[in-house]
Amino acid sequence: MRKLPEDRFLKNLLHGGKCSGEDFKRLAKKLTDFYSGQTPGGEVTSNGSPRR
Amino acid sequence: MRSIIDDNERTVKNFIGKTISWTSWEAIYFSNERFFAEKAALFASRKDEGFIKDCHGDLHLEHINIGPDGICIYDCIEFNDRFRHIDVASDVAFLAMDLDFNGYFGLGREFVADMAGALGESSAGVLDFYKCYRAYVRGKVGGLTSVGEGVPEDERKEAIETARRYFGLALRYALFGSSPIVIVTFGVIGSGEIDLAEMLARELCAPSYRQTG
Repeated sequence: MRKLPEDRFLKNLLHGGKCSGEDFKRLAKKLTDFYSGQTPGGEVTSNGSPRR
Repeated sequence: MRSIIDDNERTVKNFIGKTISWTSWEAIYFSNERFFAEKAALFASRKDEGFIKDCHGDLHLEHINIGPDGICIYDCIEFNDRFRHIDVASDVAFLAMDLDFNGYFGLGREFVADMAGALGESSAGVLDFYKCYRAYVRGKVGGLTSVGEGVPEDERKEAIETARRYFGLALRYALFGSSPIVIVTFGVIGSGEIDLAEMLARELCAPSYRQTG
């Protein structure tokens, strides 16, 4: 297990003025890849029903 | 989603007069009721279009680390799948709300725009609802922290203040969405326009400014 550097957490980066728009673009790309890589359906879709 | 929101409203009701006013609680409650009544088809289409995914569930600023080796997003919700099997818009809304809460409104808007490919066009109709929900949950957590056993007094006070700010943000989303707003009150001397402005600023956790003459 490794410890993530405290000063690199997004909140600390933002408050320290050390976060660029480019960082957010990279983050958005990583998240988009994560969501897009999934095939919806089954239990996931059922659990996500608005009435549940 | 509906049952989670109902649970939250019941819990937060216990904090009326402490971290949230009756007026704010009721305004958010009716906003949610109206949303569920009017947007059933939109919710269904989000589901049918495949936007319900196995998401992170707790995507906020303190769960993202951007280091030299890359981006690490960690500590997803694991104790209950229902909190993670959600609309992608709900995940994205959490981080966008947290950016707003910390004063980075522009970055929040840019982030949502950058996520357009994953969110889909129909997300525009649900994002503010989910941002309100996320702020409300954070407010609830603050309230619960404030009444926790053995919580030191200074932490208790901080939790109450934090909860108030989150509920103020939730109210803003419920009433006005994410767009910047300016509310102007005016009137002849003694008509109560300043009191009204200060009351609104307090409820919405927004700054108030005074111009006379």
